[in-house]
Amino acid sequence: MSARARLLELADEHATGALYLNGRRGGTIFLVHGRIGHVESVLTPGVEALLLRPTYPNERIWADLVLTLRRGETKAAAAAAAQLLRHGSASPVNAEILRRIAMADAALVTLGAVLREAAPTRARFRPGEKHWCEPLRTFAVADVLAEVHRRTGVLAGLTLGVQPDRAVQRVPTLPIERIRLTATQWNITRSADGGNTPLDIAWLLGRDGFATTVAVHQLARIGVLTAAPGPPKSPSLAPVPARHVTIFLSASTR
Amino acid sequence: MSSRRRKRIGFNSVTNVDVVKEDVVHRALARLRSIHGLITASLVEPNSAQVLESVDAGSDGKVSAATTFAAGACDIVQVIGLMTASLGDPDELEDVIITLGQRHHLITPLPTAGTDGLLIVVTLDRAHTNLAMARQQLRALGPLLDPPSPSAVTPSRVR
Repeated sequence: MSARARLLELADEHATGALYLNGRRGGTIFLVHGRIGHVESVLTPGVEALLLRPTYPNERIWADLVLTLRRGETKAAAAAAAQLLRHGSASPVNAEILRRIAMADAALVTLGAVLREAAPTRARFRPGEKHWCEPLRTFAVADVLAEVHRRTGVLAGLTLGVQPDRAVQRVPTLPIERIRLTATQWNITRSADGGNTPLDIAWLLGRDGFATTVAVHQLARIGVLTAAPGPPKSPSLAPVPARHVTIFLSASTR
Repeated sequence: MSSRRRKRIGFNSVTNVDVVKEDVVHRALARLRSIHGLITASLVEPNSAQVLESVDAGSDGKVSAATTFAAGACDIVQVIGLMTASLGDPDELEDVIITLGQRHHLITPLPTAGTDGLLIVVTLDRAHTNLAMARQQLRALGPLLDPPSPSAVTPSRVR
């Protein structure tokens, strides 16, 4: 039975618990009475990573923690993030927003099969199990799958070889004399050393992987980044076709 | 992760308590129902075009066409960013107002909410709305959705 079929079956049964997909390199879907409470994956930054990142001014210490988190050892980080929430250092509204962002990101790699290492093969359900970050709202399985579908469409429309798991690098010289970047665009550019993929950069910056991939694509289009190795065949200076500018709209109306 | 730290933060401390909490994000956005002529309002993550929450004038739940509006709004903000960047203009976008014959669409950025800013995308019935008042009410929503200032965040170490 496919992972999706198992998920829909559990939704029909109004099941509560955790559905583990693809073993250690996959994701976990937490169901509450047949609706999706949360999704997490070892491949994308979880809500604990998004919550804790601003509290780590030292990038090297954060990078060490990222290595631990990406091995799936998230218990201590989850406890620290829960402590932030309990002591009111992170506002409940912002925490819930970050939870929904992390959830959609994990759902994409768990159910969207956009990464080779997360091909949906195995499914195991543990009844009653809950995620540490209590959902303030649950989502219908169909709504989560629709969002996964939308994101898969956006990724399929990316050009210049940009993909979540393909390394990117800065161009040696800028294609134009002057360029204006946002703080996030600068941070992404700084992390694009030729070895990091958009997903790696997302972990380092404490942002979601999908949004970072789209932002990397944007930077590739204006000629700041390029997919490694080597420059793309067509120069990035060429006028941007309209369908590339409206990346989200064209994906949702395709 | 050091074993010393693991002992200090007990795993039990993160065990869930079976209490249904209120959806604070929904409550914050539902304040926009007080805007005269409101048809729909969505909270959108601009870098992924994800609709985080939607409300309409009457009922809760799924707002039709919210995802398409959100996608368009994110593209518009992206294009305006490219436009102002090429002008070398250091100014920041306050809001985007789209006026159609029957409706207004308002896109208001909240630059410090979420991981990298959020958008509020609102559709108003032109005949029943006061645009200046609506913009004021949208701006008042900002502090409710923004995180506390960085100084208020207690540094917490996992290792």
